[in-house]
Amino acid sequence: MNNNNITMIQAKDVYFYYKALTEDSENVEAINGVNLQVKKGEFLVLLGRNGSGKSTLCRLFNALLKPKMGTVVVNGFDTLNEDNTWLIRKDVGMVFQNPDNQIVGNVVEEDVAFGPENLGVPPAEIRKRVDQSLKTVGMSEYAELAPHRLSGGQKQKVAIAGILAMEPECIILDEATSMLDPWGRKEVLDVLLELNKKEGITVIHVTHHMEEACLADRVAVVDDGRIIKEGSPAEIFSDVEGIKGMGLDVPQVTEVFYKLNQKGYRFPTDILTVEDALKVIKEQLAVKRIGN
Amino acid sequence: MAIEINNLSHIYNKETVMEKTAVHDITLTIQDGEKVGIIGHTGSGKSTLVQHLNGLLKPHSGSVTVNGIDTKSKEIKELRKIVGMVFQYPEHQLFEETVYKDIAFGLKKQYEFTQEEMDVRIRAAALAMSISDELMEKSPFELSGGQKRRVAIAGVLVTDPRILVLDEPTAGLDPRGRDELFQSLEEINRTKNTTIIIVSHSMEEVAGFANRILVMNKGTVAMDTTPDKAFEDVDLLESMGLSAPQVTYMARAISGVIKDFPTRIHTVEAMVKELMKVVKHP
Repeated sequence: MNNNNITMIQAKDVYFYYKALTEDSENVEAINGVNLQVKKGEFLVLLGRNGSGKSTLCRLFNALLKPKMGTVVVNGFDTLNEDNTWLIRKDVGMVFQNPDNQIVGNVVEEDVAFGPENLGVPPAEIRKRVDQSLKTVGMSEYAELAPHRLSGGQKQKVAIAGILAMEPECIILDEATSMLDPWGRKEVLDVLLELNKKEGITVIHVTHHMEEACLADRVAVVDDGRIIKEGSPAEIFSDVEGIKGMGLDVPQVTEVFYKLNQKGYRFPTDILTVEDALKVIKEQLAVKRIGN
Repeated sequence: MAIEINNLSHIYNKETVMEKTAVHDITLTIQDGEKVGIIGHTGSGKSTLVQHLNGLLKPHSGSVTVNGIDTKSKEIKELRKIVGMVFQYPEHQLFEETVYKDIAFGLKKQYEFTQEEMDVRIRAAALAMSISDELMEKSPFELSGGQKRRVAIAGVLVTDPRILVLDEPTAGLDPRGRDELFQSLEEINRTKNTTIIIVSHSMEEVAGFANRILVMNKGTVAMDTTPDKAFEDVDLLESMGLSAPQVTYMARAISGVIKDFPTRIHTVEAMVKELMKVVKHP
């Protein structure tokens, strides 16, 4: 059976540990049996505490790390096979947390060209891809600037453009918004949603911002190297106690209705956004008027 | 004893084509024991401002005086004993073999303490940051992100600064790690009256902790206010690249359908209280 046309990443019984630093310390278990299918075109958010294994998982998804047991298959290519590494890295690009650590060019467009140059793409094609990628992330007018003159959000958009220039099918963002101010975060999220919805690029986004998680098609919660919950944002955040018990948080709006329900109200548990909230309040008011 | 900033201006790359005024004509006073949030978007001048507090940067015009010491004076060592500075991602600066030795580093290099005196201070700093005894002999590199962050802050606290400045202390921390850090800082402020200054681009996060909010925009202090009042004008905040908590936006939306619903709400608790007044109990 071949389901490669719908599966972007398939992780089966994956285990991973980091080797001990010294002889008298022990190996550090990071991933303890993960099964996860990421579908093509999906927007998946990974949530979890610091040290839960989210970053390790991301690195297993583009062959920066190889499973110690189990398999990770990316677009039909097994990451354990060395011959597949470059194919996988072309398909799955990664944006890291600190924008300053991932910019290599002295000029924005040089930085974006770095990826396709290394893939051996012909110069004329590189020119085309760089222009297109910068246009997609809305950074065309900064093409000839020095990257250090950009804001954090702009730098992350350049990093995303650098990946787009390699024409990937999937982008992984490992806490790529955590150093950004509210505008910077919005800029990056807008670009991601656009790429996902319009170009069908698969997005895997690791974040501690619950409002960002609400934008996903699906949320997977990672704890202690395992995926302990999967579902739509509404399914995940409706379990307020469970999420808080894990040291995570829910959107403020969700928490408001959770607290009201604790006081005897009977509001739905899947209210995530201001729009959702306004809708149920309006319904309540309508009922109240009829009741009176 | 306090921080006094008078007409402070600082210009990067002065007298070159790249010249850029980072902070301009700032005058303000911060008293002992205040909990101050300095909020602003990237490039608003907030990091430039706080780097003047321990003399890392010197004013191009105006002056900065901390507990009577002018930061342009030669008493820089004394100044840095008073002002403890925690930079962004301080855990990147961890380097020692054990947590204990890493926290101790600041003491060893600066002061003439006996072994016992050092031990007392190291354990007090660890306790203040909720670092358990069993962690003390571990390598800092074996710890989780939140633990590393606390060890790095303990390494600054160990010199017992009267003023603690933290630049984006919660970036990258998970929600629990963030809450625990704020609790620790609250405790330090309460028990030792340490002035705490937090630099952040999240008003929402800092509003629960600080008792004074300074909003920086284009190198000047655009607002000097209390957390309650800071969210009064959401449009103004947004024009400065900041945002309000989700419940504040919710309050604004509800005020469109319920007359006189208060729009200044910025905590979940306040929103619950207000909704209970207007929504019929089942």
